[in-house]
Amino acid sequence: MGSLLALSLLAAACGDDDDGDDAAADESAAGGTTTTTAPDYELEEPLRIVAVISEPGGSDPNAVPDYVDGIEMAIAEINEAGGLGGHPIEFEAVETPAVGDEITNSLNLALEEDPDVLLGPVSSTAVLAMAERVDAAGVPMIHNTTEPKVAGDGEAGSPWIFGNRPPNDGAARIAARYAVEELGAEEIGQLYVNTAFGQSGNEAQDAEIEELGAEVAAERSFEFNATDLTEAVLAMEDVDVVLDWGTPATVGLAVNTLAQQGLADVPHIGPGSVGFSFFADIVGDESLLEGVLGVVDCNPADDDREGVEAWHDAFVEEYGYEPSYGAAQMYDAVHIVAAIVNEAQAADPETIRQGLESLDGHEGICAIYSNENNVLQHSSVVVRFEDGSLVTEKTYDDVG
Amino acid sequence: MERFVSLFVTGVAQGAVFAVVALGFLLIHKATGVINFAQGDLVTLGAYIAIWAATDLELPLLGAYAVAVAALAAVGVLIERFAYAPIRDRSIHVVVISTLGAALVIRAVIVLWRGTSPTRLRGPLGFEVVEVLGARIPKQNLLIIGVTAVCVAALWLLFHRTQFGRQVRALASDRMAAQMQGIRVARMSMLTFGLAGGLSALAGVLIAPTRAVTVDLGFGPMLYAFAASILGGMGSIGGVVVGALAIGLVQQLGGGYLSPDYAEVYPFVLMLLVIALRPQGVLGSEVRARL
Amino acid sequence: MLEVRDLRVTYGTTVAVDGVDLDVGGGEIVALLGPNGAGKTSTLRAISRVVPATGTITFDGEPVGALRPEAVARRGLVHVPEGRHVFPNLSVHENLLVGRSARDGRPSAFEVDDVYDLFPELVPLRSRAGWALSGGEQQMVAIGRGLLAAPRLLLLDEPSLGLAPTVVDRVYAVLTEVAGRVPLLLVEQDTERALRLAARAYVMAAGRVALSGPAGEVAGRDELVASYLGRTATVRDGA
Repeated sequence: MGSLLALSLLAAACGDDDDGDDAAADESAAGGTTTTTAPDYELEEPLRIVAVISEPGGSDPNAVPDYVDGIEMAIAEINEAGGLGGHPIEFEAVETPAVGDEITNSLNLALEEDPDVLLGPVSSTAVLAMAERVDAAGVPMIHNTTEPKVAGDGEAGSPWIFGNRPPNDGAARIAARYAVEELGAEEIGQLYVNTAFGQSGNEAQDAEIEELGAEVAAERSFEFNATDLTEAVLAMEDVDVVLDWGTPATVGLAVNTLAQQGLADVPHIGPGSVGFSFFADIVGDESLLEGVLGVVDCNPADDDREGVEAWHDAFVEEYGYEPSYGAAQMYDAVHIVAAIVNEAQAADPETIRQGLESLDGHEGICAIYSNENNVLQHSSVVVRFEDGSLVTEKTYDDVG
Repeated sequence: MERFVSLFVTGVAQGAVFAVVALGFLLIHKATGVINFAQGDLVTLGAYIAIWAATDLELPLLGAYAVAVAALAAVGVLIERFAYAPIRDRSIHVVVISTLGAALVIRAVIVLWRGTSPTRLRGPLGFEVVEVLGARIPKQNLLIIGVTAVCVAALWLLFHRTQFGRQVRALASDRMAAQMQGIRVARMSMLTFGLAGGLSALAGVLIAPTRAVTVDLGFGPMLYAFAASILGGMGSIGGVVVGALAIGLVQQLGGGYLSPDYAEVYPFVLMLLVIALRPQGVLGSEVRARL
Repeated sequence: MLEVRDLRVTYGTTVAVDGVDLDVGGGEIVALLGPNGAGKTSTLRAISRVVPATGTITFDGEPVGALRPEAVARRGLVHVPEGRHVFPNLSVHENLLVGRSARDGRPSAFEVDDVYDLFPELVPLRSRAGWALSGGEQQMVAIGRGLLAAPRLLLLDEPSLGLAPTVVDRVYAVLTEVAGRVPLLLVEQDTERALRLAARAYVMAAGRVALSGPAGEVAGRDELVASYLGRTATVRDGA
């Protein structure tokens, strides 16, 4: 009874202090350049952050260092400025494969580290495999996936689980909106993969296209392991724009096939995977990438919001490579948690969960974060390949 | 017209890849009576080994392809030794499950070794196209068709003009009599598994440059090759090749002229029709299946 | 050359061969006679290892009882099976060529052309598929295929079974012709023909050897053998 009372008091306190959150967040948003002055309070125990993410050299040969580097960059900043509540933040990364039975094992190891908050995983498979256990354990999690089943109203949703990527169907709508409003497309061609990802993206685009008064002139779907898209691409001959909600492999295949069929000039808008570093490898010929568009979560390499460029440069300086949007989002996740802890002057899981639940307007590197349906990010950026790098075309803040 | 030519050539090229995989099925089936369901994953592994040889070892492209074919021949023999030979006298179901097990092992090894992110194998011809009757035909597709034709001819000669080929065919038609004639059954099955492994790698390096390479690369071709084998009656090279081309063409032309939504399904509809109407296959003259 | 001791073959609970001893010397033609179900074919199959058996089988001083069938054949113990088992999808010529598989480096007394000389009726059928041959033609191919294996002992199972008398004459004419060059162990229901060809004979009944001896003696005791066959259960090993 007593603890319940305490919980509701805490909840009330957090709920009332949204503005305070923003203030704390603003300080950290400037990222690599500004130091956060530690508020004068004492935590009983240091904040413990545990990541369930694969790092290069671990179980997943394709693991990229971005996520953990983003986390460590933020933690280093905070700890250099005096830590949180008189303690440096403690951090462990638990090797977590993208697929397979070992996922649960990784989560168990992570929970044994006694975390106050879990960061990751970064694959839909992993977050679905972990959801039930995380809910039972009562530890807040910020995962970096668009998996709708773990959104607040999803079948595997939990009050403890939050995602910091914008929803897939929202990003798909953005592709359609950009095609119509910015490229002036009237006749739209759609390609999509026959998976939940492709189908929900396609439906969202259909609705958006109809709403904007444009028309779907050709529509083709294919299996995730399609080996040939000649027929599908030939059907795109007379469209103004191709919207492509495929897997990285099929989008790459579509880029190749469009070029081979002499349709390289038709604007081709893909999903976020266009922003993955391996996408250029898949396409195989850099010149074919010119003009390919993608809807990504953010593009730190080309973002004129205050502090982003400085953060980007600091990241490149520190780690020696271009940070993906995942690096920025995980960097932001640490600062979101730090802001919540500073505001509440407490670092227990429930406090952090409540802080995430009531998150509103935290300005980070990748986006301005607010909670809605346990999804924290609601913006997307349309980017275009130019000379091998991604140029920001337009930012949308109402992705849903 | 361009559209027809484009779809037709694509269909033949796809069918050609299915044919190469199906010939691997046929070889092993003839020598051992089993269907090797690891064939699709051998296709994938072949592509990954070629990628590894081309990027990590920095071999020239054709050298990398040769490494892949040789390596997969060895893998084929290993599968025979570990997944087939120890249980060859057991029920056919046990053997087939064992090849499925081998498939899962190969897949897991690929994921551990190269990961799940898509990657790329370069083709010798890049993305060049030639115009044929107004249609833009990727040169890689023509290469696939050409290499497959050579491969089919070579296999035909092997089957009909060499003692090895006669022995495989003898083994397929009467196992006991073949043994009584001194045909070394164990060696035949090792050799055919090895050859089929090499063929899988060939299919892998042919198809990989046309698309991104993922751990699923060989799965579709294996399913269609299986359908092609059923269509062809699992008996003769000619039957299998006709079956494979029919599958590729039905898929492309059905997708192009009937409804694209079912392009993936047409080949199997065709297969079921053939099973119902002509169970010995389109060119088959005999039904002899241990599966 | 071939020594078989205490050979036993069982199919489930049925005992097909029940302790057979049998010898074939170098250069010898031996007939294995007996009624249907006596265990003759099972004995041959056990020797060529296509059915499991217990007992010892020694060929040319070496035990072969644990070898695989193809290894037995490669040692020169070549079996021309009952029912011919011509490869149906191989041509006549290819069937003959496959016969060479078992040579394993041994010099062969017969080459493909020699077989065509022995069976000129096969010449026009060279490229005909095995399944399209008549029974007699298949028997010729099967014998030819066996001869091409460079046999040191040819196991011949029922070469006259199901054939017209004129065809049987042809087959036996050829067997007589090769008999001097290849030792034979001949299983046959046509006792008369077999005893004309063979030097020695074994008569089997109910899985056992009921009688054995020089062909002339066995032939002389034909009546006796026939009378034995009705009461085999009481017959002890007669070797």
